[in-house]
Amino acid sequence: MKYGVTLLSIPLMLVSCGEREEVVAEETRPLTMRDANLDLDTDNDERFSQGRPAPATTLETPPSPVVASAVPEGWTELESSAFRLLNYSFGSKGQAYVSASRGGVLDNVNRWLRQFGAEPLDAAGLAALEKVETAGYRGVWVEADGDFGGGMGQDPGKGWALRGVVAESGGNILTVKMLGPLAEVVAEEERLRRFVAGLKAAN
Amino acid sequence: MSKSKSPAQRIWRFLSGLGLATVLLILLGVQTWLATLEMVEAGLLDTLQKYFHWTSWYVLAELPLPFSDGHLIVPMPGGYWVCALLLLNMTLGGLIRIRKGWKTAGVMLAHFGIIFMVAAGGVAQLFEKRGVMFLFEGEQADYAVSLTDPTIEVVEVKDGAAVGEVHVAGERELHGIGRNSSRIIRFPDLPFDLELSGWAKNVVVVPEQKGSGNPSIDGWTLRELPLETEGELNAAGCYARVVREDGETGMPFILAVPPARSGLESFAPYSVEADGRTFAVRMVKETIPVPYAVKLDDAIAEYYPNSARPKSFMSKIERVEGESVPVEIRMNEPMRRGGFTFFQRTMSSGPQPSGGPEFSGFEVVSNPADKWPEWSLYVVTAGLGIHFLMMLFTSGRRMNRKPQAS
Repeated sequence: MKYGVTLLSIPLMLVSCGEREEVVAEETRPLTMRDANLDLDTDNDERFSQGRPAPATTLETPPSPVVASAVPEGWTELESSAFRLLNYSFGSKGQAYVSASRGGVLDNVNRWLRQFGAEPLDAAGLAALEKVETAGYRGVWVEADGDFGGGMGQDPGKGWALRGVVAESGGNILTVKMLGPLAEVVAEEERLRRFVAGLKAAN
Repeated sequence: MSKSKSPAQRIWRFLSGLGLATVLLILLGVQTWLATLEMVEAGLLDTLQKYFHWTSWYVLAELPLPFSDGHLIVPMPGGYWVCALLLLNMTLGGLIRIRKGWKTAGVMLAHFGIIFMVAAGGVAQLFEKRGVMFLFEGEQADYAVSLTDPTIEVVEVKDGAAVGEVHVAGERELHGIGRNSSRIIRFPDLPFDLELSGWAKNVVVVPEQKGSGNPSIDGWTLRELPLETEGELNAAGCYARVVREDGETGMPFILAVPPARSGLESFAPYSVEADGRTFAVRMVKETIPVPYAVKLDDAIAEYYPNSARPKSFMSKIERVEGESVPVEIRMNEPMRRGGFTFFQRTMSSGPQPSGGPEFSGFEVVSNPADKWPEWSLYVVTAGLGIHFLMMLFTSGRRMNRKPQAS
């Protein structure tokens, strides 16, 4: 039994190896379908606003600076979150939501356009966009059709469309974004315009 | 003739002795009992890792004290190594040292079966890959995703598409890294390495919160969460920065696995430019490549009337490897192919409310010792059967002899 104690204590003596500070990773694996559609043009706001946990468990939903006058017919109101202050769905995969964002109007417009693989705009291109006013914010109407490259918790989608508004007031950015299959978005565009026009400041 | 034995003989007798086998079996029994008690609070995965992982040389088992909220800490050798010693002991004692002959043939066979079973456990722990594959009808995939193990993946991107192989820092490289330590992951075939710090097993990436004290990257920071009892709900994360070959380090960034409840497989990868090449870097639950694609054609679920109790789950799939082969996977009727076994794990409960497609989830297992436990049971059964018949025969002969002797 003396030897037993000795043998069983060997593992205990080997613990003093300490943590490794450097390790070599030599493992590789072949490419799979998981490695398709790697989007390298994503900033941290876009990256981490995806995959957020349920608001009730982690993030508090900040108060929305705007309120809707009515929920458009055919839209379903969803629970709001830290990144979707007003949140709706429509059709099979359509969604519309109001967010507060960072950066400037041009940054946000170009971020949206990149999601559809469209060329970014310069200041002149921005100035040429349709002007929109909503709830004290001034901005532009943005449209993009084509293949949605994913982002904001969405899988990529072919034949999709985006309609929405990026607006600014006192350095604060407000976005109203509608995403979904092209036909569904086009069918809802007028309702979106009325929805935007009906937004009011919360206070 | 001297009765004293040499040290080598003593070691031989000890290692092959019944005493050691008894101690080890009692240890395993106690460990299993303590682990069962502990997993109620600590969760199955963490408890199994603590007690039976090969890196656990020792265990500080927690025995709940009666009439108290306290625990008695019981130091014990790690279960993996107890099993390894048991395997050695049974090989030496049960196969080599044992008296050999027809009378012990059955016992030896049974010993061999048990050794085979213990070895199967060791092989499974070292080499088994286990993940899940969720598919909606019409979708296909050629990979499964581990439910538990985070990995860091680096792949070169050319013209918007991944090329070459994916370089992986997995469980071996990330095991044991702590919240307050840093570790450099060297990638021999890449023009840069990664320095990791602030590792936590369960985090969420949140907007910067003033006063939290956590580093902030572009207004985002990691917030550590309590470990989930169900290990697959944990989402690891850390801060990382690129270390180039000349020692220059880049700006820190956040690597994290998206929360399990988000439904996302990964956050968008970071882009790293080095040596005129572009690489994508991300943290995901381990990718397990499968040597063929599986396409889900139909997910069929049946439930007992007026209940949510499943009667049968069945998936009609196409296995695509050059040509497309139709296969049906049912509960308890897995598909085995190319070293992988696909078990029916879960399924959508009937038509989806939005009219969307139904889905099916498979548990995908790659284990070289997959069938060993089954075979070992046959061997043990055969061994004990032989031993029983031998004893019956011997006993019968003795009984027949007794009247003659009297």
